[in-house]
Amino acid sequence: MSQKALVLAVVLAALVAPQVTNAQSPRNMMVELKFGPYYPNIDKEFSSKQPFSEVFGTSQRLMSKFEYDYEFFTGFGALAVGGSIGYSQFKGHGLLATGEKSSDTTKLHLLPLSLDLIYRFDWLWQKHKVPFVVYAKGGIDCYVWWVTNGVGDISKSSDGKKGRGATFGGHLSLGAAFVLNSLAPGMAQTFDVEMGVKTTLLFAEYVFSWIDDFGSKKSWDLGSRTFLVGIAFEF
Amino acid sequence: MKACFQNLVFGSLLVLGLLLVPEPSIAKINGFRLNGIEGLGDGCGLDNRIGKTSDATEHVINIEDCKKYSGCSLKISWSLQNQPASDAVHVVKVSKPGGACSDTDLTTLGDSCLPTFAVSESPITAYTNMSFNVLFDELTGGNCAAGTDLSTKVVIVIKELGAIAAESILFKVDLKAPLAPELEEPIEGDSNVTVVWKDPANEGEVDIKYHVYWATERFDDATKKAIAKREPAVTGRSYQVGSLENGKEYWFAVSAVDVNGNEGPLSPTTSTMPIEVLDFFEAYRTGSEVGREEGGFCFIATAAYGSYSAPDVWMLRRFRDEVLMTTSLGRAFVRTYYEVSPPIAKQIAGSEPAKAGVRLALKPFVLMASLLLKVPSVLGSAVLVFMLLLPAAATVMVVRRVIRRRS
Repeated sequence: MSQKALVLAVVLAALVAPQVTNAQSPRNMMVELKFGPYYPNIDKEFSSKQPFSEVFGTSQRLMSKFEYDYEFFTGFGALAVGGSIGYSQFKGHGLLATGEKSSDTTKLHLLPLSLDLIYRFDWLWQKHKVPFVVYAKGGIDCYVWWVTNGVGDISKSSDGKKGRGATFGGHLSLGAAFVLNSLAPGMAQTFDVEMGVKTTLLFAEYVFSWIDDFGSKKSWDLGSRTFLVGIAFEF
Repeated sequence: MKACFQNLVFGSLLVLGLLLVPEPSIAKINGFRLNGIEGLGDGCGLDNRIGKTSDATEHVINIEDCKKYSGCSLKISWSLQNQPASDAVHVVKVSKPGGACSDTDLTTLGDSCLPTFAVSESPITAYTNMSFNVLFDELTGGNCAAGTDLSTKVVIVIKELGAIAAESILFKVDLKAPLAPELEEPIEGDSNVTVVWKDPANEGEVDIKYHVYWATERFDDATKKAIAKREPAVTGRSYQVGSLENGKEYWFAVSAVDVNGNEGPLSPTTSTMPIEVLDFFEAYRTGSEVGREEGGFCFIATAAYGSYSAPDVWMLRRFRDEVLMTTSLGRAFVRTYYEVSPPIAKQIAGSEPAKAGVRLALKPFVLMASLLLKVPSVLGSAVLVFMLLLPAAATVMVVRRVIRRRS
């Protein structure tokens, strides 16, 4: 599934790229591909048992995301609204009545969707060619999730609850980016003329997320504290 | 010593020379076409494996065919594209399995050919529609348990204007079934068992597939059809049998199937019981501490009232079933509502103020539902749709007015 998300991201980037072919046209959008470790806070609601770590272990899994931003203001920095889609999967072994692990596999699939408001302070790069950008993002999330059992079916608990749903929440990200255009200005110019890509950035961001239906007592917490690294193309 | 070495070299060169010298090749029959193969007799309708279609280039007879068509005759039809010379004659010879008939003349059969002609020397009377019959058992050798994998050739030889030409129709007679795989310890899961095997006996065979058989009692080759269920053929070395009952003993065995559809004997059977396993969501939702996430889908009204059987919820359910579900438009609305509402319902269920607010907001709808239940369903749906469209139409009108003022 993460491969599908990646393919989708590349296809979308390819679709977006030809729309801005004029080097003189204003920048107005950004696409990002980013990856990072992810481990949800599910076990925090318990005091004695730790079902998530017992089944899936304690190591983080890869979260892959694709983000599209529309820049509606590009004066002193850039203000944008954006949306992202991602995918992560936890695979582990079910538990026997004795508490030991069985050979049956069980998976938690997560498909995080989010809407963001973004501010990028790129004035230093735009005006003085200092190749660093800092930014902040905040937004709301909807994590669609589903759990499968040993035969690949959607899980069902003994009290009849189905192991699938959507959990809402919010997030705040703080990040910094390095502008690759500064390393090869000629190549960047060609990239702009041929593909409409005005800026290419390598970035890292720290993400605080609270995915617990805004504090609902009937929800688990899929939020985490993590970081994402990736590449961004501004058109 | 020197003479011995010379003899060795000479002998080697001779053998090499014999290997390299091509056999004299007989010309192919000009314009020959195999029109088809047809089974003659009751229960002799051939399947496609034997290649009854005229375009087939390979005709395979496996063990099952060998048994099924034993006693049948095959009618083999052929034709020539052009009319042959008036002196043209032909014969048909059939080889023994693994053998070959002489194709250089009309009279010689050869040691590995059947001792009699399928068609003795005769003129080509109707060149567009020729046929002859052969006994199926002659093609197979008659012993379906022979365990051989050989080819039988049917040779048509034509002599025309003194020249010999021949065509061969090849029947691959595969009477060699694969050997039994070896079962390893099965892996018990929740309502499933993964059967694992290895297959050293058929190492090197290409395109081997496997059937997993299972039953609630012990079975063998003789009883498998009556007792056991057969899973679809797989190429791997393991297969998960699902939908089993935890705590119940099941028996398993595996057989190999070759590329020509020959199924070998069953492996020795093994038995095991599926066991209860908690997948992640079950582990989360059970035990001394029950996880609070309920997953699944609930609905706004139930969430707001806290009970599926609350009077207002009951009224709305009646409205859904008796009014909305009676029209396609109403059903579409319900379907959309089912898709949209669960996340909203979950938000409401977790907050007392939200529940109180939604209960208040639902009151007019409950009142409307109780009123509409007293009028015909079509009219009820129409009124509901009107009520839903009204705010949308109002929004559009306001936006248009604002735009007009600005312009």
